[in-house]
Amino acid sequence: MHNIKPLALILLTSAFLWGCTADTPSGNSSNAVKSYSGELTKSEYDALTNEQKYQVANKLLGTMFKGVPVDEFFDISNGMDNKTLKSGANLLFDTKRALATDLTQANVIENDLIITDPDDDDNNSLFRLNFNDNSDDATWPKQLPLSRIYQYPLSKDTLDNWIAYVLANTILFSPAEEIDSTTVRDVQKVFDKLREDLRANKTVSQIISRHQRTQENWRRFRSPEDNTREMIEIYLGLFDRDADVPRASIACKNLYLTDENAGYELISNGFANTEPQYVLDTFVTTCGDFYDVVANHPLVMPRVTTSIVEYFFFTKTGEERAEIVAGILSDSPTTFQDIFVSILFNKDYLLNNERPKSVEETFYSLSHQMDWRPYRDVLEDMTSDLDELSLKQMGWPIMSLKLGRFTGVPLDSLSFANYHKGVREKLILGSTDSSCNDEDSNRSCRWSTGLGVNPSEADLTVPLADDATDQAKVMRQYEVNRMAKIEERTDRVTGLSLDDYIDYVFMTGLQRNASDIEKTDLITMYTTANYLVDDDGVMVIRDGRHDEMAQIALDYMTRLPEFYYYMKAN
Amino acid sequence: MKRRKFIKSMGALGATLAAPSVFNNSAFIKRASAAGIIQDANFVAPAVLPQVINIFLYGGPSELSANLTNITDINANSQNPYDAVRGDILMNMDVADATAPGQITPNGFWKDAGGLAMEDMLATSDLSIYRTINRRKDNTRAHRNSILSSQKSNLDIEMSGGVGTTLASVLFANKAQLDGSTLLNGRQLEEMVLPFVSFEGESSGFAVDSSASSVNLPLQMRGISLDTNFDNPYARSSGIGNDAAIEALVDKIAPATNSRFQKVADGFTNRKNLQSRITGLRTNNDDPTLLPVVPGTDPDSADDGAGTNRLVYPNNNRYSSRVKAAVTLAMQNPDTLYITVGGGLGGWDDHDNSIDRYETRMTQLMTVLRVAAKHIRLGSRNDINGNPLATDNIIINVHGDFGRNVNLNGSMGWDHGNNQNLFTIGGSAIRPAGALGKVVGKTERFGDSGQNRQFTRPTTDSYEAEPMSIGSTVYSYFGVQNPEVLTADADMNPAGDSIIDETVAGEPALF
Repeated sequence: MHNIKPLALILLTSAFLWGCTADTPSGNSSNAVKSYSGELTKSEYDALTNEQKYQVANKLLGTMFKGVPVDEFFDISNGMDNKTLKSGANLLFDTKRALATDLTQANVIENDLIITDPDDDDNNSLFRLNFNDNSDDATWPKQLPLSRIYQYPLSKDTLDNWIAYVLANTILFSPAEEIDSTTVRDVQKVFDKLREDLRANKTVSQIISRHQRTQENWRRFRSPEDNTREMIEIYLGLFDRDADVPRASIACKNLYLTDENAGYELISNGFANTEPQYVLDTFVTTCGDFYDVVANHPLVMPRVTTSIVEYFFFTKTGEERAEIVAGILSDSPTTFQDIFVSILFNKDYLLNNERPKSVEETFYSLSHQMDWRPYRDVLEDMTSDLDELSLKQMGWPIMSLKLGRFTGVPLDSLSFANYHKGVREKLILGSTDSSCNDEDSNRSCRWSTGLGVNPSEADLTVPLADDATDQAKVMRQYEVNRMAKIEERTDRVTGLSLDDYIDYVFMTGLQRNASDIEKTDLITMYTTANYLVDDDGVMVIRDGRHDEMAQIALDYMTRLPEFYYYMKAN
Repeated sequence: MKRRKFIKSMGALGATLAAPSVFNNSAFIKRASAAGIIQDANFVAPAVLPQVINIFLYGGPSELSANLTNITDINANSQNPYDAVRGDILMNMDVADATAPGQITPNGFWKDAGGLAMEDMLATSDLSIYRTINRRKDNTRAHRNSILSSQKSNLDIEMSGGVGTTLASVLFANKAQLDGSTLLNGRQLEEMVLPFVSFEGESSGFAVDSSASSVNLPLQMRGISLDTNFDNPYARSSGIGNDAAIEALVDKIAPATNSRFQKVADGFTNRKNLQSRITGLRTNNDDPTLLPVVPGTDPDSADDGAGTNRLVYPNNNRYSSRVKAAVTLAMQNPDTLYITVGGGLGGWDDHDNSIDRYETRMTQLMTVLRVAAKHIRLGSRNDINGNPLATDNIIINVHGDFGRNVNLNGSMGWDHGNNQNLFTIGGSAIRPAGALGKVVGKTERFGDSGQNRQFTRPTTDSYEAEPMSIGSTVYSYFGVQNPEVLTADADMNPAGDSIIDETVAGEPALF
């Protein structure tokens, strides 16, 4: 990280001259915008109601841990009843094009400076990642991918980061941080290598072939028999080839993992196997031969696609998933991007797939829909072992489980209690302090500003010091751009009628308008709390009370089961 | 121990709460097949309701801790000899001086791998060990298949429910026999408090039954997951709104969609039920005076600060909190019938550099189990009417995915095997006479010398049982007369599996 800053000013100067900002991808769309079997068409999308379109947007973007505010998706200047599409008009095409567009180097550097403050010189970067922590307990290798997914604009870079994060949490590539022979550095290596491979558009087979040979993979599966067995099971889905395993392990017999005192290094003893072994219906001699057979086996794509489909369609029946897998495979995908993008835009996924959201999907998508600027330690909390926002406490640890996260979000009573508590208390309920530095004092960073109901008190007109760092300049520009957008939003939102304002908050939290019962009861609560005033027979919102009203409405929403689901559009 | 080391060490049984459900991810999508049929179970209410704690050792522990009877042969044929790592492993221990060299205990246990604690529990008839839990049907060495078939006691791992779910289904299907009975103190089945509990998050032991014969269980009869320290995330902190008014609105709106969003709706209902109850459980768990008084010479005791010597669960032991929580819950709440305890996969998956870690882990586990056995045997409690209630209905079963090869491989570890031990503790009121205090099963080494695939297997004259017999036995404890039907699968295991024969004689001591 430390070596990016000397480049930053030059590149940023160029970037600003070109007129781009951190919010928009500005690179070349050198990657083809492909079409996939079974994808939702523009005409099908256009036929949906506005609310359904926003639900589709929420699912499409939320799956990638992104989201779009109501006020950006719709033009609400004439009220919620008369809202018209803004960015929502071309959601499918714009999103797919963005996902095929690389960020420029300048844009990457700019966003990295927004995310992190490598020197921690109090320039108020979005997150506080402690890169100086070299201990085995360090969490920044888990936070960095999450921070980039959060901040990078929708782009191929974001897509690649997100795919790498999902893959590293599945059985396919988990670094298995939970076991003795791995450390968080294996997390870092597995993720970074995956991300680099994806950036280079390597094929599924190339990535599997490369990954199998790594020390990280051997730290997870630690003997020739264990390693070869798991490769056959994980990448080919063959659980009944036990007889192949001893022969495959002979091909890998020269490899071993040293003990803890020697740092769990992958070593070859120099005596590679020379006698061909019959494995998976062919002959292999070396471990490399075996890995190539696995990586190029005809079952690789069906197996990998099945694993990913199960991850996103876990509430579907086996038969339904089989149809989806067949549809994806009919396009002859070769890359992970092919598989993931095919799923993201799949009609069945966007319109008919109803499933619980993962913690990241709920937290991130709502954060973006509220245009929340998070408190700086939010990712530290999510990646910790014990915090209320700890994903581990929610039964959803990050890149940790030896066989990856399970299929389906854990909703047992303990995991769900932590999930609900974390989202409600760390995201929805706020405190009243005035700094952004931690979760206990994050008022100015609360979502109310982004939602357009609580104007920022920050004075962005005070000039920066002459010796301000590049990072400080980037953050100032980030805030200026953000506040310009939010100020306009605030005018629109605070100008909404009481009914429309309640609908606006509901659309943000639940992608639907409030029902009559909900409005009646909430208005009663607001009246009791003296948030409303009678203006010539019309109840209107008192100045400065929009924030509290939204808090109560969102607190209510977090208590509804539907809050935790991606729903069918119908 | 470094902090990370300590945290990771928890993974052997407990760090990763959710790992057991990892295995829902099938290789390829499979079609349903017919699992055991609940309605075919012949249920006769038992005289005493059992309480079973199922401790699952994810990863598959080596059986050597309780079985060094073949170690000389194993050592002579292993790619890496054991005695090069543990010089005294071929020697009998000195029973008069446990600190003297020698690892083989009188009953053939591994002294420094929990063997001494096993000998203690055997001597007090708290424990029996079945050394020949051997998979002959669908002999897989894959974690997923092994874990699911064990935790479900069924080879239809995709569709069948977990053992806890099947048990709940049988009881619910026969509630007419149970409702209002003395077994339930005159209550209805649904009035039982926390009958099915997981201390491992979402557990495959409580996996939903997706077979055609599944029973639609009420929420009270489904598995509840609790924190091992009885932490209370179920309670909400207050927001700025009127909580009662918000909840009233929720009650108007949510029910219309609860069936659509069933799992989360259940989560909210459980949250509400548990938020007040959990405090009492934690108080009991933290109260040292609720642990039994024991003689001052007991190695598992300490002064409670009031001059009384009481049982204590060991500190700095990765298994203490989880096992203590499970036993405390069973002791304090006779309504709790089936508890699952487990943790992160990998804890017992000893493929490399295994011996030191295995010895430490097994010693810690067996030490805690010895305390747990005393807790059950010496502890006292009352029923809901305040009358004394015996504790000899509480059973602890300990087993895992599979056993391991006995060859010490090139990475100085053990790869996946088959034959494994079942450690079963307590429950004398539930079992036949003579069921406790013995070691059952004889083994021999099998496989080519100098090759990795060497393992133990039952000798031809030995008793042996399938892993699914463990679940079958549990069903029988609860009154199922024909538990084979619950472990049967029309395609792969039509006859099902019978119960473990607890009347089989034990093996004589070695010396």
